[in-house]
Amino acid sequence: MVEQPQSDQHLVERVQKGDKQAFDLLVIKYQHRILGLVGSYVSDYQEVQDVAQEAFIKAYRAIEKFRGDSSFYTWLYRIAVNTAKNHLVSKGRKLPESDIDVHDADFLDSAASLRVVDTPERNLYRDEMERVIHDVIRRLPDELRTAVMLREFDGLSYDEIANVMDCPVGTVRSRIFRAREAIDKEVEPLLRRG
Amino acid sequence: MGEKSSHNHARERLRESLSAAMDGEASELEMRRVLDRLDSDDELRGAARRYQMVGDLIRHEATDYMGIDLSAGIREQLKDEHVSSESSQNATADQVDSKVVTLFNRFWERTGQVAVAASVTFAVILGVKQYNAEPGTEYLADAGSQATLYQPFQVKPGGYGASSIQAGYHSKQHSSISSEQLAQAQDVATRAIRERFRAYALQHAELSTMYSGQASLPFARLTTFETQ
Amino acid sequence: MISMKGIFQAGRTLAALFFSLSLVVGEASATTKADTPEQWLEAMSEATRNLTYRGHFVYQQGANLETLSIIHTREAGENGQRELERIRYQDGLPREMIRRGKEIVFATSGREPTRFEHESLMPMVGRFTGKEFRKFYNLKPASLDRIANREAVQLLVIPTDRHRYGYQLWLDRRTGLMLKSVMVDSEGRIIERIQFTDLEFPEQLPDAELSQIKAVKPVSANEKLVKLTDEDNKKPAEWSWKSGWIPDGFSLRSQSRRKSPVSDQTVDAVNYSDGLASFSVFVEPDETRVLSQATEQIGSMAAVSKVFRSNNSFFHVTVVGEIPLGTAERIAVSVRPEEQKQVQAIK
Repeated sequence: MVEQPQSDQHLVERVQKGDKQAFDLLVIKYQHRILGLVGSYVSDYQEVQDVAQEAFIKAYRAIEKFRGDSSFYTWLYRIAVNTAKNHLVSKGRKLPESDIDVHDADFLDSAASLRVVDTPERNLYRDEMERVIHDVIRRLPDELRTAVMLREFDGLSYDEIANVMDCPVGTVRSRIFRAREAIDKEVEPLLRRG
Repeated sequence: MGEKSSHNHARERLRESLSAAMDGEASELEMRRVLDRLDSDDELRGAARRYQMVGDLIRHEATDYMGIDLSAGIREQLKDEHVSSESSQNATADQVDSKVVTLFNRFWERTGQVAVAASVTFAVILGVKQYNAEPGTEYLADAGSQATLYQPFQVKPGGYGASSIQAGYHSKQHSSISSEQLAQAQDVATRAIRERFRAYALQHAELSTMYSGQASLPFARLTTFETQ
Repeated sequence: MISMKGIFQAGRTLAALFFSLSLVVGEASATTKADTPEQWLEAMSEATRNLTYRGHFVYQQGANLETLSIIHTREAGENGQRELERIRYQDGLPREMIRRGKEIVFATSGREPTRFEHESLMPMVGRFTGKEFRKFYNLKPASLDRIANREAVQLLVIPTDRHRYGYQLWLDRRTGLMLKSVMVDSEGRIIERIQFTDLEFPEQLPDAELSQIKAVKPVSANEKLVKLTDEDNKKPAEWSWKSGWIPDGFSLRSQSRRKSPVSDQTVDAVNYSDGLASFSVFVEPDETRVLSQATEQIGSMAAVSKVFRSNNSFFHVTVVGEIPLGTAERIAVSVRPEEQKQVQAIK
């Protein structure tokens, strides 16, 4: 996924001014990626969560040092890697041989997810979810599907999508929202059930 | 529109704001609105988490941790912490007169608990205030301090229902004025002035209403100069 | 599951409703959105001019509290649309203001009414969205609130210099109409408060009320009539005075010559505004030798009068407005005679 540094800029600025709720949203946005990343260093399911949480806490406490030279996620990523490594060291465990290059953050997320130890049930769950979602997307009206795919898959900004689709930004926003709602309608009951 | 459906409409608008906010494309206001509700509104929070999850799934980036939610625990742990930095104090615009801002910010912080100041900010000064007066323009009762009242003076009817005080220029106080006369004269003078101000205030109200677009609010302010 | 914090927050943000104003505009009832504070202010002034509403509001300034009633509508007529409005003071001396399009009548029981008639209305320029406005006021949205049983969006209007006051505004979420306004001075003191206690938006005002507004009484002999033609409102060719100084951000809104409210003279009347605050400068010849050097500040209003002399004539200058006293004084004291054009002697 293409990085979108500016999409987090406003949130980060708010956090720097003391807005904790903005940080809450950043956590929601990145917790799973960070969990996946940490999971490539730490194998115990519960430990992964503890370390990931610690990484977020560290990021919050260091937030005023974030200068915007990199994207927020890249900065957070580095903190998570360091936290995970420190954790391993403190437990007397060995570090993985090949250190994950921080510049390959995007690529790494997928790679990291492959290395997670998973149980068959969790795998199935994920597969089913993916299938449902892509099914819904396939059945969406063209313009909604295009909008949401350009956003989620290609990582384009609303302006860029408006350009591509030759429509106003407000329309882009509305289409993405309606696509998400259509998907959510199918996904939500599954989650409640699962 | 029924109440229930307008409520649903509102919830939908809120979720649309959330959708935009997560893409970093929401307005400041929307962001504020969404963030304010994020920790107390479980539905909204659930929608945020699901939007994020759906994005991961579309990208085939979902992990096995996708069911986990760290945010509540993190929020709890950060509950009593604060971002400590200089930058958090410089919230307002740069070119502002900082003293003015500070005083205003103090007021805004107390918003909701501020009581109307009991004492009226009220000053009636009869006199002259000089501000870099240019030579060539002369002022009545120059180098004035306190009011110089005139004697003799007559109350002359006329003008807009007001009593006006006829006075001569370049008058000076006479020692033969008793203090009661002085007090009475001052009272009359005050009323006359107030009456004049009232008449002008009406003109100003009309001008403001017609040309400054304050609607008819200026007419409500006319009570200010009402003489009892 | 709502945490305690949520409950406290709910007290401030009340309903699960959103900050954008959803405006019902005129009969079309199309909903437009106002997203930025500047747009809210524009919506506010449009709503005030265009909507049909009725209610009561209190006006408080210092220890002085007044209740007023207001009805307002806009109707189509032969010459286009016009505003009809009536504001009545519920306490003390009966007073009312009636507006019929281009005409305003202000009547006080026991006094001659004053009527203002304009030949045409000046167009209202967009006032809150220009760069100038933002230079002098910072706009900050605040949380939702409830006023007169209606949901309100709060807006803080913070001045950037000491020549104007600050405001806390509550705008009706549905229509943008101002429900409450608190004016604050630079010390953070409240100097004026206006607040609706009840407000409704009927489809139409009843005929009985409308005809009271429209009934044009014949001009009585005692009535003070200020009749302004378009000519009067144009800048007169030569005025004998000029404003040496006005505060930054204020621009001229009108200039006219009209009958003086305090004498038989004509008075030059000039009005300036920065989009929110406004003040007027009145200059008239002084024949009556009235003691008039004074400054007065009550609540939000400042009034200053000065006399200046030009050659052998004396002129009264009066400045009235919702500006700080020091500013009003400086304006008044900066009025000076215009240089008379010298007739060049041919050498």
